[in-house]
Amino acid sequence: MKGFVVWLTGLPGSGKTTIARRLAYEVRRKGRNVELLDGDEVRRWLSPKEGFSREDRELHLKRVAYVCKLLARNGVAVIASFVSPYRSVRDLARKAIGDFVEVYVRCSLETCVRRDPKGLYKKALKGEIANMTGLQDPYEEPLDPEVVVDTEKESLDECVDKILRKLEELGYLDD
Amino acid sequence: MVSAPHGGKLVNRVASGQKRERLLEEARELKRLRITRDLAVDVMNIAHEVYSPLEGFLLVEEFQHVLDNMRLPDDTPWTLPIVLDVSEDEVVGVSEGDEVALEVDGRIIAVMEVEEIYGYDRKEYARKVFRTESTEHPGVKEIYSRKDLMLGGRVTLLDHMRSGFEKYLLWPAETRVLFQERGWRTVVGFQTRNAPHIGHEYLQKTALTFVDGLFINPVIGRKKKGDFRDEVILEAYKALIEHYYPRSSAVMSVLLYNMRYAGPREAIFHAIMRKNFGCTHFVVGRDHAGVGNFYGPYEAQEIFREFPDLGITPLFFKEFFYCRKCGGVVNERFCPHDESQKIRFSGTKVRRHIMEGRRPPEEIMRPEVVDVIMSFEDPFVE
Repeated sequence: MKGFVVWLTGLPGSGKTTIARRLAYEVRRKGRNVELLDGDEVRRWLSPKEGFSREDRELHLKRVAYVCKLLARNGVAVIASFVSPYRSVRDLARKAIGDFVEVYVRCSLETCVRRDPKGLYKKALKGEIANMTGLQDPYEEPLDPEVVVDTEKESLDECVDKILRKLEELGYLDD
Repeated sequence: MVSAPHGGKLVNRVASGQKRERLLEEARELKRLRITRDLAVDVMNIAHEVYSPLEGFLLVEEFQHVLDNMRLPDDTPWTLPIVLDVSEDEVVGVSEGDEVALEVDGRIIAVMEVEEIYGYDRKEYARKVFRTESTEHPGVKEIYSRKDLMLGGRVTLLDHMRSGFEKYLLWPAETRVLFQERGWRTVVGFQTRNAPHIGHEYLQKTALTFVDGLFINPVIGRKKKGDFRDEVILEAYKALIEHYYPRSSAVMSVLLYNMRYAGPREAIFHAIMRKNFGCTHFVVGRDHAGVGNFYGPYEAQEIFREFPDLGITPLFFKEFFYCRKCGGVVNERFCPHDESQKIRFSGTKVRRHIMEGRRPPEEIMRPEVVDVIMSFEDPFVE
């Protein structure tokens, strides 16, 4: 079975994690080995000393992309969930990995700020953290992602179905 | 000897003494997760042997096995998912491998080792467990209201959530001692969530013909409007036992548990819990754990065929009724008379009588039980 990487990108608070975990459940159910790589957790191990400057983010995501590549080439279905705000870095990951399915998890900044699950926007607005994506730092929307899901308009089921359908279409879920 | 616990060992995960002190202290530093009272009941049942061999909330592989095969991955029968749902927001900063403190009513009651955080498919859950996706089904409705993620992992109980029924509450480790002290080698468990009418009594007594002891185990938990209140059920049973059962053959204690109304699957689960309490037999009547018309009247009996390795013997009964011609309580296996001779027992009938301020007739309910129910100003759940 062919490995692949589903790369979920979107603003903090857009709902990437919930989608990623649900997607992992569905893909695992199809008999695949799944590895879930999710934001902070991975950062803790791969880039514990790096911060959130552009250079540090780029460095971190390059490491993530490298790990994804190693897993995918061994047949693992990788689900990577990262804000990954820079187009150039995502394109770099796409090139390095090959079997790369970019999913843009779209959600308006207003809604993300309102949800603010980690309380990061609040801190950023108070000036306690700099480099907050969406506020001080730019988020560069994907230009041509394989899938766009909109967590304000679509239910979790719909978002996950859409991604699964694309994976099927691309032949990644074939036996 | 009473029955062996399910899965071979009685799991107790209640911390006490110094260990508890230490864990409580540590728990105060942990991320807190507020859980519902319903979930706290599951935490207590895991920690207190009722859900043996579970040590915590199901991991994804276990969850999937339970949905697909009605068994744990090691093939132990297990029909209902015992799961803890959370939202993404609630587990921000929680990684697999971390510990969290579970809090209910503003108090920490347990710590949980978060082994896995996983997504699931509500519709699949509903379809496989309840055999329907209809939100008319209260169990399905409840699942559809759950949050998007599950936490799997072991729990350790540090404090009990108060139920108000502590006086009547025995855990499996205790009932096992009790049964042994009574000298019972065989014990039949009886699950109930109703005030006893004559039909219940005959189920129990017929079962008691074959075994040494009867364990009446009413369920205390979420109720529907129009159900008897928990206190009423308990007092009614106390009256019944006092006046109509030999002291040496029946005991009662309550089980904290929320009905899922999963019919057949839940009947197996009810039996498993009673096996852990030490029962060797379990009564399965008509439409056990059913709701509305979602399950056939004897589906909950038929499913036991798929579990020859359950380790507790189900006793199946047809519905009992009073027959004027026979002059007693009978069932269709040995009464040939037509419907006009029969007085059916039904909770609905009893309820209607009482709501209209009339005493249910003696053919349906014992006068002592009726007295108890009538002594309550409002015997039913609002």
